[in-house]
Amino acid sequence: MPPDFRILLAVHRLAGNTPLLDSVMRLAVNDFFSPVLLLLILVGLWFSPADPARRRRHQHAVLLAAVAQVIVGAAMNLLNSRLGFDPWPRPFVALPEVDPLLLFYPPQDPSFPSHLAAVESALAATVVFYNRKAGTIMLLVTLLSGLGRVYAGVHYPIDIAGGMALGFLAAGLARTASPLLQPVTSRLLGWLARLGLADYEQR
Amino acid sequence: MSFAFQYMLWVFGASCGVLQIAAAASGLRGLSFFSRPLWGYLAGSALVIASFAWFYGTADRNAVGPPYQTPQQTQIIYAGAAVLAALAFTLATCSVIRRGTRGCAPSGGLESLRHCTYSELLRSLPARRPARRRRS
Repeated sequence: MPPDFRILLAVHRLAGNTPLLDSVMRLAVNDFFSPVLLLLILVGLWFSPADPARRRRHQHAVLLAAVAQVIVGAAMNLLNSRLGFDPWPRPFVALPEVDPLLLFYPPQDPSFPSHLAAVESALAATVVFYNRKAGTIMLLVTLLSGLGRVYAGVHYPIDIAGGMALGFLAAGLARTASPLLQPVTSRLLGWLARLGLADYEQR
Repeated sequence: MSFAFQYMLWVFGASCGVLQIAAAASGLRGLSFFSRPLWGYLAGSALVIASFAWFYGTADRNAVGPPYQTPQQTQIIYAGAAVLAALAFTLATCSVIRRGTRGCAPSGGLESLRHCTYSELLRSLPARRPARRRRS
């Protein structure tokens, strides 16, 4: 059991006591809510603002976010599926006082690192490099989703922190590899621009 | 209605709303259902909120069971298809609503949608020329 189980218990103890907070956390912990919210922000970034040069930067960020997702997917596959890395059981398995059914269902995949936190923080951190405001909003959505998972008793805080660290690392790698990927992303954006679905590079 | 269809309908509706907000913010008339940006912001926000309210108001989306525990890859495919469908629907609808507008001069890329509809843009694309035969 990770050392932060007391934090989990303190947060999870609030579940089932305040209907309004429970409603918010039901959304935050949901498998679809935060990922779709982040996806919609990416769609909005692709088509805005009015300045084509800034829009092009956003489109580049969306493509790099997709690259960061591939890195996260590969890392999770290596950690959990290939290496069988599963350092501790889910909180509701180890701690009898935790009841995930209050707000959620009991997931069966490994607890550490949180897959959703990794995916979402990779998206958010990639966008931060290109649009600080949108990236910060995405990071807040990621944090709320992570808090929801601790509140519902399906992850320890360290699982969320580990997932976020993995996501940041993937975003950093995608950003570092950006000059190498430039020919591919530019060509892809060029094809889409020919179809009127992306912007041409401003010279 | 299957869960996959509900999920795609939700993402489709919310994406249509986001596209209206983005079109209002960027002034891309070929992507907007409305002539005034204010209507784009209002209708887009309403569509996003309505989509979320419908999806989460009609069933418990945190329930236990196979339809809700959708693998992440499947989710990405559903969501991507719904976003592309929303984009196609928006471009087609705007092409119908705004057909016959004057002053369309495609400037290339997405920027062309500032003054043109998508159908006008497609018509302006250079037709592929047949390869010339070499003289022997």
